Amino acid sequence: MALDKQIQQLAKVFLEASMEEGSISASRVTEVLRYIEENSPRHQIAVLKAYQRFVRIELEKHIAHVESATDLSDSVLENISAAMSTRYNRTIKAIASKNENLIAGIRVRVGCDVFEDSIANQLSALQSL
Amino acid sequence: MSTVIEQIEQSIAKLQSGAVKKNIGTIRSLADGVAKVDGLSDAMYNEMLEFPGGVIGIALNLEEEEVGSVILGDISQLKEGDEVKTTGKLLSVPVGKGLLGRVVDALGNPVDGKGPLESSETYPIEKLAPGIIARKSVSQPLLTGIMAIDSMIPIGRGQRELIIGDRGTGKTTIAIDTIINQAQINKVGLASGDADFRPVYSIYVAIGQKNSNVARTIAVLENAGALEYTIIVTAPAADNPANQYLAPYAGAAMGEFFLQNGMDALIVYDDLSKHAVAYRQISLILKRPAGREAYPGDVFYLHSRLLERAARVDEKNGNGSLTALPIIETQEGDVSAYIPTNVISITDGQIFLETDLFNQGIRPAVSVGLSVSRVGSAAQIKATKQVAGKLKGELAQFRELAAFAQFGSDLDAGTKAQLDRGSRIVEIFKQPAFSPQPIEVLAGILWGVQQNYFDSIDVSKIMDAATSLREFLTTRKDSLLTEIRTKAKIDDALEADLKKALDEWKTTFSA
Repeated sequence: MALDKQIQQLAKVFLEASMEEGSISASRVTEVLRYIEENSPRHQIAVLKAYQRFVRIELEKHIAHVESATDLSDSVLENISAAMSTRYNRTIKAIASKNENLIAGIRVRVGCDVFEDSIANQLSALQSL
Repeated sequence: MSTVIEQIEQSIAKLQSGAVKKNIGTIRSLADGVAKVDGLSDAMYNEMLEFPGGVIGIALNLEEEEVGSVILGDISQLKEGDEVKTTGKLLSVPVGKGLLGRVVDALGNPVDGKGPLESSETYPIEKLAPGIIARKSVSQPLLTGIMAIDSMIPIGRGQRELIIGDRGTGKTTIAIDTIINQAQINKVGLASGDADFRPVYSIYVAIGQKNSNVARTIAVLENAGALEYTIIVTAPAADNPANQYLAPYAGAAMGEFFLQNGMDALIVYDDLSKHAVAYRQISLILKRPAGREAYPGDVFYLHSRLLERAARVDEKNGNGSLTALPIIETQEGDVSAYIPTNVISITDGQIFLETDLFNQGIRPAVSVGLSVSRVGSAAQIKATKQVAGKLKGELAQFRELAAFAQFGSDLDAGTKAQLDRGSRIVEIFKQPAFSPQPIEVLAGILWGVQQNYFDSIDVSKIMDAATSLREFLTTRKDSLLTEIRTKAKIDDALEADLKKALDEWKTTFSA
């Protein structure tokens, strides 16, 4: 258990070293990876896995996954991106994907927050009444 | 008509509302009934989490990037990567009088096959205990029907009295006797039509017990006619540790319904040793740091927050009460182990049961020297105080003398008399299981002991004599017993009547 904590702490240090102006910097990540390779910390694989997980969570905070039943125009995506950036006070990029299960409407996921206005969601709300 | 249209419009508006915000996470790992969930940044401590397939979990570990959740349902359908949602609700169980006579699990679902529960209200299982201002000191008795306890270690409504002892010493029997006695008192009280009568409802929480034991307990309560005043919450040994951990809190929530609605209730936690073990199991799986005996650091808080919910509240808060009888199983009589010392320090006294006494045939095997009730004497009725005032001291002295007397045969007359009297008191207090005695009968018998009516009877015949006196009083002196019950004290007139009755009995009893 203590070992697990040490690995997490070290991975956190590497994550902090990878940040530049509040977001992950590709060049810094490369530097961190080179440092790890050269110095080979104990339990290198576990540290790298924890580091990868933290970086993924951090990157997810800057991405809005937009699901919709039909294709969305670039302007809609830009609007969503702008709205989310204002809401979270950080730059958020919108990535669109198609999900026909929604029937109609839209579902936006940023990190672990989901904003949904879709027919599928309303139907499930009706079902649970 | 317009209001009806407005209502429908409001319903439509609810469904037409814009985007709904949800907080989600994904299962990262799943093992031993515990899921580690990534995300869920808005999860609250003890919040219900919704897993796919309607499975419910509880958020117990809130960490920076993940949440440790104990799953309460079937985990076989869950897999890594599944989506988990927060619900914004704390775990709640149904409460109310509709649960009386029913057997439910830790989540309040009926398990007795008697159909759905008649209950519309729910209470959260975790709730802050009543504060200092709302409380009132213990002043009303809670009669167990066990002579040794009611006379020497009295319990009051709102008290927390621990029942502690090794396995097979009669801990559960004392608790069941108490529940049966409440039912008997309730029947008499409700039949009398007394407007001031306050019935006591019981909740029996079985934690980590064999299903056969629980079934036996239910049968005993049913045969004694006590089930109709009792709720049974069961989390048997085969249930997952999460349910065993939650069961006492669910029972406490059901008891709080009576407390908050101005009624009296009794709750038995059978037993908190197994509860602590279930919590240890969950904590170790959640990788919380282990402390003494591998229990987590908050194992004291686990029991203190539960037992603090037992209280007597003042008139402003409904004048209700919740009395708790937690049970702890010791190993080889070791009361200085971690969990026993914790619970001893939390409760307002303990009834200690000794294996040696049990094996000698002294049942209930209450150790008078080690048992104590810290607040109950304030609630004891005057009649019991009058007849049992000196008994505890006499019995404790007898035990001490008896231990010394076995080394030598030359004893002075005073010591011999003390030993003689002590052995008679021990015999008087022997009582078969599941036969609680009314307080008026107890007062009558102990008055007889006080007035030396048993001194001429051979020690081996004392139990028969006590049984004979009990029968005599209940069958032939019912009015006298009613008078003791209603007056609740022995005045000169009553003393004269008692003397007359016992003289009459003495002539009929042939030792």
